[in-house]
Amino acid sequence: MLFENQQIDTNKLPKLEEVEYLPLLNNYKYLVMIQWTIFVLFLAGLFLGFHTIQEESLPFISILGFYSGLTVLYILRLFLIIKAFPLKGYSLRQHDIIFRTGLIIRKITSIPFNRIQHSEVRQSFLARLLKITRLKIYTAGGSTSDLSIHGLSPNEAARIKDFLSKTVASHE
Amino acid sequence: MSKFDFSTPRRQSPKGVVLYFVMATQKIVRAAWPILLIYFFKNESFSEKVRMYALIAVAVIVLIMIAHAIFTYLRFYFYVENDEFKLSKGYLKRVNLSIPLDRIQTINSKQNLFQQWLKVVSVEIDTAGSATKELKIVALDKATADALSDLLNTNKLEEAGQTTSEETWDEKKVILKLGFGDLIKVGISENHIKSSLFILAFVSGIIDQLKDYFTATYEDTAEQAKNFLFGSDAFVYFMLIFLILLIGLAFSMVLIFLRYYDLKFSREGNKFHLQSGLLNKKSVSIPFAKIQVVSWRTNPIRKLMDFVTLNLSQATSSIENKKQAIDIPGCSSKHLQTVQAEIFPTTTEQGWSTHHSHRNYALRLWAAFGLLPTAIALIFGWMHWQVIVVASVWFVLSIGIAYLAFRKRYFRISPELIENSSGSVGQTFSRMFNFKVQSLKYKQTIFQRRRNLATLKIYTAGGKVLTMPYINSDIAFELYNYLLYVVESRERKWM
Repeated sequence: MLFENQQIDTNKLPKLEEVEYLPLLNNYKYLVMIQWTIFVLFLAGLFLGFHTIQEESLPFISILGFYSGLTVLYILRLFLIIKAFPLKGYSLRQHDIIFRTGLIIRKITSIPFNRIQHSEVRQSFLARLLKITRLKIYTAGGSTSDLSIHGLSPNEAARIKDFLSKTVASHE
Repeated sequence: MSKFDFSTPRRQSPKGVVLYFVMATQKIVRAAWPILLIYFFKNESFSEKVRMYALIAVAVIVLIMIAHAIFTYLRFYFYVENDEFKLSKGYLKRVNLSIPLDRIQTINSKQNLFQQWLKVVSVEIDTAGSATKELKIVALDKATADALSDLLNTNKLEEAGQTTSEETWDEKKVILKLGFGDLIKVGISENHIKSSLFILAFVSGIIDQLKDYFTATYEDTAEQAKNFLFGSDAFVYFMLIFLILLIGLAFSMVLIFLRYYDLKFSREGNKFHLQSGLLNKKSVSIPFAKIQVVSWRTNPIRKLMDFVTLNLSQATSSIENKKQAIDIPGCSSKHLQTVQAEIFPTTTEQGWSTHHSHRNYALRLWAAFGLLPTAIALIFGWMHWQVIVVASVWFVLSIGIAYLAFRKRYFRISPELIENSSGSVGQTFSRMFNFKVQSLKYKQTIFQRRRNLATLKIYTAGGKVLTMPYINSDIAFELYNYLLYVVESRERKWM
């Protein structure tokens, strides 16, 4: 129990534990997988360049070790992305917005509407090809407290942003 | 005030030309000091011709700087018009700024060494908007600066006066004054290990920058240092540590005197006023409403002398401007109570509930800061007895520190306030109004999940984050729900 001396019944408050989360678009999963693939290929390319220009060639076993290690890590990463994806989700309640993420480290962040400074919709080049956008919500609490929901459809992101702008304006 | 007419555009004090010149010089010296150093010390190695060109280059730069100072001064105007404070500046790029008087949050004045010598002050105007950094006038004579702050302040008072009773405005109560002896005490109680490390880092940074220019000597010295480090006996180490700590103490003292000399902390109406500084004089006002978190730091030495370092974290208007937290050292427990009573007037000592972090927090801390570094040090340095000694001392010491860190990790909550405690040798308390929370984060690793633990983070507008690590996850959720409820159900302004 949070309070030894209850003034209000905290059990009757809206419960975070019982929130239903809306899923993100599947394309977001593919976006992350593509990004990691590019990164891993980049690393492999770097290593390839490194051991070909080396005058004394590296022993075959260490070259094999590097590539197989990288492959194992890559597959593990993809597996984690797929497993973690269903856990990601967001929820709009009457007074706040909530975002949940994380398989190994679960994180639930929420920002009350009356603490939002402003919000914006962003889209990277890859994301545009996959038709997904990112919604960023800023508070006065500094960059670590900002909320970023990636993997929304452009329509949904714009709709939420409009809604937030109106709500924020009504609080001022 | 009639002497000063701010309704027509006016310039700063003509001394501003000198000040702008000095500021430009500082900037150039700061950027080019390695080059200058080489020029002076290795002068002989350059030919006559090179030296002449260098002289011409310096002359040209000085001329440009003088022109820059004059133009900057001539093109800088400020005035008050239609209830707006206006400022225009710049000769290459023209900037016009205007801010409605009622959006002005605080007016701070500062005086560095040159400004003291020129008898001018700089005035910074902080607003609730975003473009704050630019509202700064660097060279006003004292009388004009006072008149301007008065004018801007009066305007604020009239507005705020409607909500607060009249009498409070005349009160000006000094809460704390630090004399010479107090500053010595404050200096002694600083963290000398931290200042020693800071000096070491600073010195090694300078050496790093210079090593390109003095390669030969650098490598020689590095070799000697290495031989010294691994070839000496215990007594030499002991003396070395003692010496470094002594330098750290001297450094803390100097820093304390520079920063807090002649410190005066007072209350005026519904804000605090702080002024201090030896070379750089600073005067800041802190409206109660802007304060987000009140923290105070203590350590065994401070406890012995009964004082804490108070820190007021203010809401920042711009994200980059993180320097808004204000330290007030040397506050006795009585001063602390006075300040708390001003900021949290309705607080009582009843209705608080305390929640501690789980002991796994100590375990995790120790694993990360005790076990892991020791293991790494032993793997790489087991052949040196010095490394073994340091590693085993740290191994034992870290157990104690982790335990202390766990003992001091707890939070207390009342229907109005939340107070977080953390620390190891020292201890820091942070207290804030529940409704001033900006956003919340619940975090749970898989290891925590098995034991039903979680970490909660509370973000505030001063940039401070209150962390409650390894608390029962049901409590974490309850706190989360409760704080959201408080924030969402109350329309009280957090700033």
